[in-house]
Amino acid sequence: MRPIDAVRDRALPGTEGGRILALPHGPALEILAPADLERLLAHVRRALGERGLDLPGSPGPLMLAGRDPACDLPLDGRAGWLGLGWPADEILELETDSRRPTTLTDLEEAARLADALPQVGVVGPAVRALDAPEPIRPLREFHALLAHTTKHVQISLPADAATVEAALGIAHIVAGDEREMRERPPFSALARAGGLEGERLEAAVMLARAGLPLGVVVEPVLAGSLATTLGRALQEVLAAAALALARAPEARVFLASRALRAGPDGVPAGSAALRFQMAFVQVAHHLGFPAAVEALATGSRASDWRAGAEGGLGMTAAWMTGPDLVLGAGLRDAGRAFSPVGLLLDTEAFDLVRPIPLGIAVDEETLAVDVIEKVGPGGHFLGEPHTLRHMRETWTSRFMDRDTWETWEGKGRPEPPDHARERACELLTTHEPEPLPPALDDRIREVIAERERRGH
Amino acid sequence: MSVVATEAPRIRGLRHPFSIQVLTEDELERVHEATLRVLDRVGLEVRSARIRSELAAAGARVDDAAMRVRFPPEMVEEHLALIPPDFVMCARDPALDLPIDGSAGWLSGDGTSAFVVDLETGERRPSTMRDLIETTRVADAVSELAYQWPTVAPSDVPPHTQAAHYTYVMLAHSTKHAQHNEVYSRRDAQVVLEMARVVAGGDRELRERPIVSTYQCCISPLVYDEGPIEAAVELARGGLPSGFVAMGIGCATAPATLAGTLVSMNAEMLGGMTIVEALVPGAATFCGPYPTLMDLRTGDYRQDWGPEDTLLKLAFAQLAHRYRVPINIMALDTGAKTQDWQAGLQHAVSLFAVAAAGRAEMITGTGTLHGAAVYDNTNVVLDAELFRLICEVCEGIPVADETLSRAELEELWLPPTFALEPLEAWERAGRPGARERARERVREILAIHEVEPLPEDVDRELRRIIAAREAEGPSS
Repeated sequence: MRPIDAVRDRALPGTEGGRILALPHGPALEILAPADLERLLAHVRRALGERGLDLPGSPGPLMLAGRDPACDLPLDGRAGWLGLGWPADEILELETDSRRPTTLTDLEEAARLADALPQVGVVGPAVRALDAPEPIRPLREFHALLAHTTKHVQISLPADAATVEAALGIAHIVAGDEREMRERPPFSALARAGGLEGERLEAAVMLARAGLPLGVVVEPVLAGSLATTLGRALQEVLAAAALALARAPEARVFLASRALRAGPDGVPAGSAALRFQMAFVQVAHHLGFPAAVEALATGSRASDWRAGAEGGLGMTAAWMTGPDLVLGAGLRDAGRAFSPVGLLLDTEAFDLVRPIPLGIAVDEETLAVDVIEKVGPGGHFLGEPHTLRHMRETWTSRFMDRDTWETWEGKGRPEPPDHARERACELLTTHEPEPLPPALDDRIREVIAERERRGH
Repeated sequence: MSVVATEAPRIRGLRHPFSIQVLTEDELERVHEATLRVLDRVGLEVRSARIRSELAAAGARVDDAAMRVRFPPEMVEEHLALIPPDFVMCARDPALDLPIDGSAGWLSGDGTSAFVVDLETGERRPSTMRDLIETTRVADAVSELAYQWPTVAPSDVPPHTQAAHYTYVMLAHSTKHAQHNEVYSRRDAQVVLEMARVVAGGDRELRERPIVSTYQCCISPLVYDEGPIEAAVELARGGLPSGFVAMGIGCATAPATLAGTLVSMNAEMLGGMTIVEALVPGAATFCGPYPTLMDLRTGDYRQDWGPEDTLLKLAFAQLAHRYRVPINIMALDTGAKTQDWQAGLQHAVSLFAVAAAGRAEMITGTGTLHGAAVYDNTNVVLDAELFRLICEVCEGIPVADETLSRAELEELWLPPTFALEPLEAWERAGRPGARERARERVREILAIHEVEPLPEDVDRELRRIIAAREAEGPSS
């Protein structure tokens, strides 16, 4: 466990310029006892050995860069970042909460919202642009993200070499040159660990060799005991990491896991999902890899009590264990639907736990013995200069209810989603991210057009 | 997937295998040292001449004119050492006895709300005796709730009889342990003791098996009113665990800084426990920190219970661990007015944090909304499911050769209120959520749950005591 005083010396970290807010890594809770961790790793090592693979080691810290340098995110073990990701095929419409298939416009709006929200660090594909044609859909989605945020962009690993080549071309255009692209990679990719071979492995290696961070992702489903499930998931994700690192030793790899499901189309698996999430982060960090998890997963179809509870449990597990990325903000219905309202609420859940890992400031000023003596028994602190100095340090929510009961009833009993919806509408009306320079935008469109001409 | 539907145990406890630290050892000592300074330099206002007189004889510095009692550090340390590190909260049903020894955390309902949300209308209204009985029965039925609290304040009985009514309802409508937090005077304490002795079978039996525990609340900052402090000592002399709760409100009745709130409330609780140990050496006692902050916009409790509240809970748990004193933590804060996203989030974060606090024998707060001002049985069902999920997380992941190769599906419990029908059916049904399912569960419990009744003669005697208390009138 990291001692609390090892993290106390720094203020609540964010990126330079304050565009993005971080979840500081505090003392890490370890759900696996040391002997259990060793047993688990020995088991995974044996399984990898049977495939001729070694347990991969630490690739070292890595950087996820934004188009705006103030949005660069170091994955160096000091803090975690919130992100959109794992694309949904349906959206809960902002105004009505009704469901429909997702479009490119939905993706653009999700990116714009994410750009406006300082809690979001990584802008991944919240939804699929189902109205965009194959084979250029991944590039259209990539372009939509780049054009609607100056934060770090994350995409799903394209399935074929020609699309990866085009994506690298786009990244080159955005970064300016190859060296800059390696130093400040403007996008990263998530690759499903299962079946990472053949053309998909080649695609991953191409990205990794170009210096772009690669997340290998496991999508675990409970099968057998929880230990069995964890062991298999680790085998899968570490085998993928080992394969990528064998072909590209300089690869900047991180390990990612979706929430543990109770079945192939199932909901997050209750306490097993939480335990899995905590253990996954522990193992990844033990091996020196940054870890990405889906900590806000919920099986709920709405932003209701269940979504709050499941998100709260996942985020609490996150501050206790310190993942480097918390992806999937705004997803509902076990990842099948994206909710813009849910995105804003999930940023509030992230905000609610952010200050906790830093603990409590203790010094003569904060201990306030003199103030307690001055006020004395039966007095109050409202008029004290000490109160005036510190009262603004208190956390304030954006979407929770703070009204009296009577006022709340008078307003028609609004719930947090109502406040979040109002704010999302406002942001979509007012927030315009710094656009891509027209010359760059034209060149990106040319790359996409060229890929389209090449066909399947 | 294999979803378990085994018969629930009668009560369920929480192991505390994790221990999150938010204060370093040095910081912990600084808070303790500052607390001793406050008790020595400022002291407590103790509004009972009787207690002040006894404390003067026990070594405290007493200023009678100012009603002030100051405690030398060595007096506090000496009496802290007398506190039993563990005790048992016994129940009418001995199978439901709760060891308070750090081995487990036990959940209770919240209290004592002046309002309830009516199950049928969904409207808030003043609470009544019927509500007190129904909420107690629901708490008896739900296995995650291990002991009772007076849940709601019945507006339809005379205020001076409420302590007796609470005692009766908790003992007659539940076989779980009763923790009484509404004993406001020495006379109330005598009545509660008399009733508890009747149910336990006598004074010696009650001392051996305390089926009731109690606590008193400080008026922050640093005041113990005459009735409550006299009641605390009387109850401890009667053999009941007698704890002390502090409810400082940052910016108003406690400093605006978290460390300052820790010091001020710690002084209140340590002061209370020192009083009891000085006057009843070796009495079972405990601390109960229920901190919050003021919303300076409204003057109300801060309804968006934030990270500060979680940090204070964790820090107080560390202090209790340092003192080897049992602790009762308020773990289910919410300012929400219904079972919405806010309530789910706030309850999940605060309860999970307390579960990882390393020590929290008594975990309180189930059932209330809007800063504990309103009780709703629907919350009890939902919070109980949350508690069970967290209990399972705290069991960790056993890793052995056998578990690593087991093909047999993990037994998986999913909260019943999380169940969902197919999308189309759910839309047709009006999109019901956990809240609606929990309401149905409450109706079911109220329809079917039977509590083992008290023997007729015992019941008759308790009613006689209540009638006698009523006849004494409000000034007694």
